[in-house]
Formats: sequence, C-alpha cells, structure tokens
Amino acid sequence: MKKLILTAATITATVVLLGLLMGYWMENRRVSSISKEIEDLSIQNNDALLQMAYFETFQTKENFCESVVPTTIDLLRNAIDKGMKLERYETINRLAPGYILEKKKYATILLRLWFNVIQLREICDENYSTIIYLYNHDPINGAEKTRQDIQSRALLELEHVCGKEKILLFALPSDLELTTITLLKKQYNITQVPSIIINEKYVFKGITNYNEIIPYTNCDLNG
Amino acid sequence: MAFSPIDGIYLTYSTIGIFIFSVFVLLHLQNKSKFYDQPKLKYTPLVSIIVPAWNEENVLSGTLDSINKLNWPRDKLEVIVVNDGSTDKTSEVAKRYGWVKLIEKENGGKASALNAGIKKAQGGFIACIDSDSYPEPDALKYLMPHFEEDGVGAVVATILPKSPKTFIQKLQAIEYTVIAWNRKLLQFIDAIYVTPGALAIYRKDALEKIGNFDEKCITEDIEITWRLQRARYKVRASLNARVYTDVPKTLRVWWKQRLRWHLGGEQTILKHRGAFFDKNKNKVKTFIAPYQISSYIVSILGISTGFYIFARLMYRLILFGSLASKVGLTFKEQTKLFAPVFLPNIFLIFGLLIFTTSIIFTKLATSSVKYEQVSTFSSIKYAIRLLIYVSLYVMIFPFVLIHSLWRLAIRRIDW
Repeated sequence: MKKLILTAATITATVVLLGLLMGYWMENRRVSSISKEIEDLSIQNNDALLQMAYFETFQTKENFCESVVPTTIDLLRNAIDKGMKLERYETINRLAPGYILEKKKYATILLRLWFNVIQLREICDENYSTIIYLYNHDPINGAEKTRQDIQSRALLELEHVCGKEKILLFALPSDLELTTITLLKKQYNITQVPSIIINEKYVFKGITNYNEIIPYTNCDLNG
Repeated sequence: MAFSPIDGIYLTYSTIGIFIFSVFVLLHLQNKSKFYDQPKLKYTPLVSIIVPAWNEENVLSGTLDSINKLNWPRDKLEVIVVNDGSTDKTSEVAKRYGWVKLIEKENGGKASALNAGIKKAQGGFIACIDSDSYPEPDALKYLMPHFEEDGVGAVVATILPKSPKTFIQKLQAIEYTVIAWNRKLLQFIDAIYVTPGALAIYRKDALEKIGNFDEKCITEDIEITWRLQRARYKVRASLNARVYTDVPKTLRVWWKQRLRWHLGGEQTILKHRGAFFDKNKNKVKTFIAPYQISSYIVSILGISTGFYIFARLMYRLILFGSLASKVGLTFKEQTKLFAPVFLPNIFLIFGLLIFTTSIIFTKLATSSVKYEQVSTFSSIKYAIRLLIYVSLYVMIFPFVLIHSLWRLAIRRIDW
C-alpha cells in the first residue's frame, strides 16, 4: 500500500512538474515572440522618425506627405494589432514573469506614433482624429476591468463606424509610471480611468457613450 | 493575468485527479491478470438467500425466477422473502413460489427486513438480493468459492443495469461498469467500502459477530461493510459473478436514489468517526474514512469555487448589461467582448490531461468488465456517451452531495 501510494505520488509529481514546465515554456516562448515583434515595431518606428528627419534636414516637401503619412498610419495599424496580441497573451498568462516591460515598450512606441500623427496632421492637412484612451494596466477590481473592457469595445465600435482612416486610436496604460503619460494626465487633469482625449482638445472622463464622442471627431457619418 | 488563488485551486484539483488516476491505473496494471481468477470450492454449503420486499409486486417474480435458475443444489439453498409491510400483492407473488419461505412483518425498513430474514436463516452464508435484481445462473458458483480464503466476511457480485434503454440508463451502464472495476481494484488493497444490496453474500457468523444490519442507517450495505472492515474481515468482489438490477429511468428518480446513497454515506461516516481512534489497524481507519472524507471536502471545495466563478461571471454580465447601453453598444456588439481566447496555457494543458485521463480511466473500466450493453454500443454513439459521461454526468455528483448535506443538516434522513 505504502509503495503504491509512493509510486502514484511520484508519477503525479512528475506529470504535474512536466505540465508546469510545458506551460512555462509555452508562455515564455510567447513573451519572447511578442518581445521580438515589439522590438521590430520599435525599429520601424525609428525608421519612420528618420524618414521625417530626412525630409526636414533636406528641406524638401516633395512627396513628403504621400510617403510619410501612409507609412505612419500602416505602422500604427501594425502597432494596434501587436497591442491586441499582447493583450490576448497577457489574459492567458499564468506562469511567465509578465509583460510589463513589453507593455512599457509598446506604450512608448504608441506615444511616439501619436506625436508623429499630430505633426503629420498639421503638415499634410490630414483630417483624421486622434483618440487617446487611458486605462489601468492593473485594474483595482473586476468592476473597473469591466468598465475598461466595455469602453475599449465602444471605441473599437467608433473606429468601425467612422472608418479606420478617420479615427486613430491610442490605448495607453496610465499606471505604468511612464513620464510622458504622467505629464499627459497632469496636463488634462485626468484623475480617473477610463478617460478619453480627442484631438488633444476634448477630454471625457469615466464611461462615455461613443455617440457622444462622434461630434468632437472628424467622423462624418453621412459621408 | 497573474497566478490567482482560483488557478491554485484548479492546479490542486488537477494534481488530486492525476494522483487518484495513477493509484487506480497502477492497481490495474499490477492486478489485471487476476481480475477473473476463480478460487475452487471445496464443499457446497447451505446458502440462505434473503429478499427484502416492500411493495414489489411488479418486480419480485423476476427476481425469484432468476433465483430459481441459480446453478446451486436445491437442497443447499434456502430462499426467504421478507415482506416488509407491503400494501400491494407482494405476499401473493411470493406465495406462488412454493420453495420460498415467506416472512411477514410490519414495515420497518430494508435493514430490519434483512435482520428478520437473518434470524430465520439456517444457512451459514447469507446472500442478500434486492427484489429488483436478477442474478445470473452462475452467480453463486462464482461468489461462494471466495469464502475459502481465510477471514473473508463478504463477497460482492458485479452489479450491472438490466437492459438500459433510456439515455440516463445508458450513462448508468458506463457508471456501473466503472464502479465494478473500481471495486475490484480496491479489493487488492482490502479497501472495498460497500457491499451493494443487489447481490452480496455474508458469512453468517461474521454478521452475528458485528450485530447484523444497522436499522437506523438508510444505506445499510455501506454501513455493514465499514463494520466488517473495522472488525478486520476481508471483503472480496467477483467480476465473474453478475447480477442485473433495475436502474432509474429518469433524472428525477436517479437524483432521489443518489441522494439516498450520499445521505447513507454521510450517516456512515458520522457513525464511524471514532474509527480514526481504533486501536487495531483496519482499512476504515487507514484508507476508507480518509478517502471518503477527503473526496467530500474536494467536492465541496470544487463546487464552492464553481459557484464563486459563476457568481463573478454573473456580476460581470449584469454590469456589462447596465454599462453597455451607457456606451452605446448594441447586444451584438457586446457579445464580441466574450470572444474566447484560444491559446494554449497551463489551464489547457491540465484540462486536456484530466480529460484524457478520465477517458482512459473509463475505457480501462469498460474493457475490463466487458459488459455487453456498453461494449456493443456502436463507436460513435459510445464515444458521445463517453464524452457526456466524463464531462457532464460526473459533474452532477457534487450537487447531489450539497443536497444531501443540507438534508443531513436539517435531519431529513429518509428514503
């Protein structure tokens, strides 16, 4: 009996350990893969910044907008896809050390892209709207998480209704101690999440109906 | 998302599941060649069959017909039907069989009927057969030789559903097969904890020594096995000897039956709580009671966690509903929020592991017991039933347990 229990315990320990190791390996592999993808994104972002610097340095505006705007928008789309992937990976992550570093890197890329698109809107006379969506990476409770989830879903719906070329969404975690985001919160007096900043002018704090946001954007539902 | 207490409970559950699976598979591998070993009978003793009956006019003749076909010398067989105060024609049915000794008594419950039969029985071995159970002709021939082994107090047959027709009966066919296999495996560590009433044979002097059946317990077959084990009698199970029994056709009747089994089990645990302090080393103390109690704790913890997750989900859904209109989302748009994430993680690995082990566990049982009603299912139908059995059917048991604990708490312990 003792031998049986000991053998069963050994088998159990081995199987559980193997399962845990396999889970850890899978999750770590995902961390590495998303980390690499964010690294690539960062390089592409730097490349886009260099492209702008190039045009500024050589004082030429020929083909500037035709070249830089699509590159930047594509880059933003790519970044948003990566952000969603990161979100999915985070949701199911249990054993890997976490995605905080990747999340911070990702947020800084988004912030740089935000500055780019603001600049480009001025220079190239583009009529898209920027929407900053501030949320907590670590919601204090389930209710806050639910509020954030529903608000982000509503903003995606807004993007869907108005068209991706009209609405440029930037979802930024407000609690990861990134200086720029802290400055942003101070500037717009944001003390709660979720909060929304539209075209660097209008601020909506708390849960907001996306239909209320539409008039403050360049979204033309009739067009 | 970081590792949460719920994740911890899930992993603990998986670990317990894998451990139990390992114990049974090891027992199976070590003993499979002995499953159908049949000891030789040195002499043919007198066996007294006792059939307790309460309002069984519709089924009793079937049971008596099966007893009549038993391959056992007629002069070595005594059949006693105990009419436990029936209000139907049970007595008339029994009287049609001239070789049956009929005992009439006031209604006092199954255990009291069995005890009344034991008092009148002349045989050294008491075979208890429920009045809705039908032993195969060779059942006694296979069961009795087990008493040749020293210290055997009881031998139990393999109980299988009689002609399962409804869906729930077919699920019970799988379940009874698993139970029979399980019981056989427990025999190898001397830890059988129930000798079901469908067909079990007891050494009469063992019964007398421990004081016959407990008339206060609603599952006298569980309780008596615990007492036999505490008195250090061995209990054996035969896969060769089969008895078929009527099983519930509907979920309602099934629930009622399982509620009684659980209540009886709980009554037995309470009655034998002192077993932990027994001076002699017996299996109730070292295995049966700890196993039963821990399985109850695991079930209660599991169902509590399930309720917590469900309540959390409901709260989230309600919150979603109230906030969705605030942000302008339609119902269709809301549903996108619940799109599941299909990516493998530790949950999936352990979930698959538990699922696979459950399938293997059930398959080992069905292939060992070889019950035609299970093994002749066409493959697709059988696969579906097997899936439902491991994923849904076994999940109902914790709910029955909660119901039975509630009934125990309010002291409503009846049939």
